Amino acid sequence: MAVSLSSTHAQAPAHQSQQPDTEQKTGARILCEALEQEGVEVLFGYPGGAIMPFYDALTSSSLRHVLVRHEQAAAHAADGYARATGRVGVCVATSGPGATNLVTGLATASMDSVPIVAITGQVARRFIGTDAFQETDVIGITQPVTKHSILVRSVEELAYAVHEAFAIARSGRPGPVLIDVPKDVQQATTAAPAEHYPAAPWRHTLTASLDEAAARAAEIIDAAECPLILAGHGIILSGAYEALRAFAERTGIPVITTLLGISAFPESHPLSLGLPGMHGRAEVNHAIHAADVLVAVGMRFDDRVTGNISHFAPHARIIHIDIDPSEMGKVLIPVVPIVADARVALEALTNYAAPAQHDDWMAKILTWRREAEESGQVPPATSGLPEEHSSPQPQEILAAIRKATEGRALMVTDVGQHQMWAARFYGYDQPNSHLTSGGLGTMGFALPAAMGAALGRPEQPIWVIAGDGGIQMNIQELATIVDLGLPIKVAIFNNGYLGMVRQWQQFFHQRNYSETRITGPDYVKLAAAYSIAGFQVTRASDVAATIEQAMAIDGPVVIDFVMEQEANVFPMVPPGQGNTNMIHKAPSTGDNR
Amino acid sequence: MSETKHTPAAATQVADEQHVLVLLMRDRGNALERVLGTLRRRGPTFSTVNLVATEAPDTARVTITLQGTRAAAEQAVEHLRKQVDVRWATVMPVTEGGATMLLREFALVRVSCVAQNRREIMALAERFGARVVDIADSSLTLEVSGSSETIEQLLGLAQPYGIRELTRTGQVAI
Repeated sequence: MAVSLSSTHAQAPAHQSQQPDTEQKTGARILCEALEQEGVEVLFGYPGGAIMPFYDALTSSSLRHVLVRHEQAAAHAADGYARATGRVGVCVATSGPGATNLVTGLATASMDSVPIVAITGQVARRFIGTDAFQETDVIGITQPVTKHSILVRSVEELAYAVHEAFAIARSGRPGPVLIDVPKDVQQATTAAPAEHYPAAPWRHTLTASLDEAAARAAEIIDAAECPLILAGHGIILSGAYEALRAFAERTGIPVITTLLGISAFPESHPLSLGLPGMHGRAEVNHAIHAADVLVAVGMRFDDRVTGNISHFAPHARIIHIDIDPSEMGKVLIPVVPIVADARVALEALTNYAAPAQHDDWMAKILTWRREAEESGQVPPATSGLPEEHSSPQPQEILAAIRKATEGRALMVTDVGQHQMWAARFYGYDQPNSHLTSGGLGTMGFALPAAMGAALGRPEQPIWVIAGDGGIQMNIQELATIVDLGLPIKVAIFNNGYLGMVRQWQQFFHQRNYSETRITGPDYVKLAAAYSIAGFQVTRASDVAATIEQAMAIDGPVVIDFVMEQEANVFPMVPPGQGNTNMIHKAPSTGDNR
Repeated sequence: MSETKHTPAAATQVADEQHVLVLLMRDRGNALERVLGTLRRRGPTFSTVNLVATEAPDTARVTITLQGTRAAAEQAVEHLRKQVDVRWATVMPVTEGGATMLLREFALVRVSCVAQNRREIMALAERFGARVVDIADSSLTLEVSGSSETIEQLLGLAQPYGIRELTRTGQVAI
């Protein structure tokens, strides 16, 4: 590896062409102008004492501000906007409690490599360190969950800090950056022009000779009999859809997509295999176990993907492509590490790899798939219509959404059982059509993230899939969604339990359902209270018609799907086990007490 | 079942060794906190940290002594290199281009003494190249620099006289 300069920026900052300006300006105005120069369209935020000068300047700027109902939602909305558009999302909060409420959202974005910039007000400089009203050391609190953070110490540094924050957020492996701006810095004035921010002032350690690495990787790939591609979020972040497809088609290698890699590769493609790991498809885990080469692209061997690491892909040589050099050898030591942008690396690999077909290997995988489906271990994605009285089934709901939206939906999922079902049963063909909190597993993510996504991709139908636990975290954002008139459809998978935790209690804690029974409001009445349409579906036979009805409504809709209480996600790899030790039914050890 | 073709990174974690990590960083805001926070969360444990200004304005040189495997130390360096304020970071090689890595630290030791053993302690100091920098009625203060082992040795021999106070800088490396 060698040190080289990277100048790849998705958005070219406009401030480079700015005319010198000698007018006296307040920090608040400079902040607004710097955001405008970065091409910011929308901010999600909540005002308060220490950020008031900024909010005062906001009304005379071109920036669109969305008033959320809780700062956590501002961070998730900025995150959803960034994931949906590939641009930097922006959220704003005041000092103290406003800033601490952002923390979960920053950690979510950090774990999933999402570029957001958070702007927080801070008490005036002379009060910092005095335990002033609403003072908190937000830089200290957020340090482990941000890519970088900047306390702006003078008005002269402010514009530079904003441009630096955006550049850091979107460069290399993206991530959240926080700018803490004391109130008196927002109020101070300066006539000094902003210090010019260089396009790429810091190093990225990239693989020195990509061609050499690609040639070595290609030798291994060409010799493989049972190769697999493991595609992660890096494909989506890099926009490498075509490069991945070209590489897979040239080499005939089947493609596995991680949870955040879903929609990086069309699931209807004959080479698409789907989700690996803890709740992955049985045949995918069998395939990984049998593989002789893994080409892992833009993924980090998360423990939910690998299971017990010493049993993961025991026969495979690993080619690992990631833009983050610290991922090389973090979990597994690859034979060929390639530190590069996913698209650039895949294009190089496609150049060097020989055309191939792996018919026998694919046939073997399809046999595993057929066996899993025939033995009832895995519910097929398109099962027949259930009986008249049966409750709505996850796969039917997801298939109905796909049908009603002609597969065009942008699916935003929360965290839990429904998340796994939505990952497995929708059938993602559109690039970047699945947003979820993968690394941090943040309940309450989906509704506010969908709000950000809907503003970023107004042309697309947006569906939120959430459990009855997660939807009650951040449900206050229905008010914001109504304000904005966003036609977000919210499907609540309501089983009266914190389902995933309940499943673990059933399997591993002898059915001791400790604090997982959960109640909620009457969601139809709740929707009515927010002046939006609400439906309750208790029978499978009403699923499709209700979803069609929701799609016909030009506005937000809440659907409460009252589902089987103790349905489980299968297959499941028990924690700590190797991925081939999947269980396909609930253990019989638990007694129903 | 055939042999495993790759190695889980955890399998490379063998016995603890000492490594010296040197980095140049832009000395601003919470740059040091960020470096130490990263090591605390991800890296091997660190025993000494030394930060000094350099000849370049706003640049600090930080020397950190780590306990762990070479792989863990190098992994930590990769994490640190990603930080915006870290301009350069490396795990010091034991030798490079024929030159051996040199590790030194500096200590001030205040040793109890009485008139009868003052000469004895001064002779001990001399053997270690230490300077006597303060003489009081009941103590001598020594200034010593050298390898950590040298300093440990001196401290061991001074121990019987009674060490009243001790301060060490931690290691620096070149």
